[in-house]
Amino acid sequence: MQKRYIFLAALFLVIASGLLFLPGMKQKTQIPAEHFLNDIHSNNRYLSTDEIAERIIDGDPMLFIVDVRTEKEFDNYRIPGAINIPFKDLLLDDWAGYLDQDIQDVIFYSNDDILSEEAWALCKQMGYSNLYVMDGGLNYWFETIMLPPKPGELSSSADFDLFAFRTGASIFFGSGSTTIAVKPQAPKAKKTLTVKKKTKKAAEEGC
Amino acid sequence: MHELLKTQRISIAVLFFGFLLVIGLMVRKAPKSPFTMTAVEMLQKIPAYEHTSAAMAHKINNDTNAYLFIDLRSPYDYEVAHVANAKNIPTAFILDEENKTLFQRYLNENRIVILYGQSQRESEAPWLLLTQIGFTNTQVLLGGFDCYQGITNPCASEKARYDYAKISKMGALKSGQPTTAAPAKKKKAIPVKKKRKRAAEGGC
Repeated sequence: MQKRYIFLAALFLVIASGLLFLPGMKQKTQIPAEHFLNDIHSNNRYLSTDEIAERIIDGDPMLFIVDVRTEKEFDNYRIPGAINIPFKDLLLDDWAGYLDQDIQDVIFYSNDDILSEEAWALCKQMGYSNLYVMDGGLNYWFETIMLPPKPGELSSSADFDLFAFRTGASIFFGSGSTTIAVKPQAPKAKKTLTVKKKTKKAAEEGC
Repeated sequence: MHELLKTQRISIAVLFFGFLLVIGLMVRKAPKSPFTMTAVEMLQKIPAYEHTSAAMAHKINNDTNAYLFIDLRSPYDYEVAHVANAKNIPTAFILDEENKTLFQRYLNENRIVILYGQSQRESEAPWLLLTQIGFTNTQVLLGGFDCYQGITNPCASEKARYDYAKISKMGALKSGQPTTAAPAKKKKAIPVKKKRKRAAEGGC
């Protein structure tokens, strides 16, 4: 009887020792490659500059904007409310508490959207959620929000509405371009009026 | 009698345990594409990797012995235009078995695989993924296909195209010339209108 117990105990010990030789669980924190590929394939991570500008102006508390450029570039210019996590420090434990949470929307931006896309990819692999990328990066931010292009004469009213929003936003974000940019529609209407007057004058003189 | 029952129980328990063990081993599946580099390791190594510029791509796209271009866009976009001698593998299929064996073959033969999408951004995440699962011979086409075709000029890169601080602080409109040109015309238009009014009054 006693022998059997000893044998069983030994057997379990041998089986348990097998755990030592299992391959290390290296990717314990990382999501499987196939899941990551699915995330890459779905394009809903890109937020437009207009959408982000609107949310900043509305004071959306769910917004957590992350600037992945260097500290120097960040000091030079930043989107209001953004915090700086230089790309090389992205996965340090210090930042995990900020990036790995499912309450706020984390939005990455850089000068273009290549570095921020890489930041998104690495954080996504770590299993973080609610990650977004600002479409076009700061270059596009300046082309749309800070220096909005004037819509052409044949543009739709939606384009003019968007332009009106962007000029408003550029006042909010401190670009001086707006004082000039607001006018484009009004002067055109005045011009057409002057044409009418001409014909009237001609008639009066004839009398 | 009592002793006998006890041994039976023990042997049943052992059999059951062994059974569980076997099932566990059968069900346990290894990841199909295990990462050889974690995200943290990859982050450190990203600056060390070399990539192909658009100018370089024009030179090497005929050298099929050393390079393979992979078009990550849809088959439709690929049909419209693609880099010469490129192979079309849409992003969603890069982890298919046949494609992985292709990448493996190129890795073994020390040939370079260059990924590209419409923009450079499209190829960044697939490149990270392939590099991390061991295909370290993959590169990115800088600027993407737009840059290769010369559609976007300058090509998209991580360089700041504007002096951000200057525009935001001073409101100087150095780069927005069309908007500075427009107000000058408007100012001219207003005095013209006033003149006409005066002329009409005099006529009566």
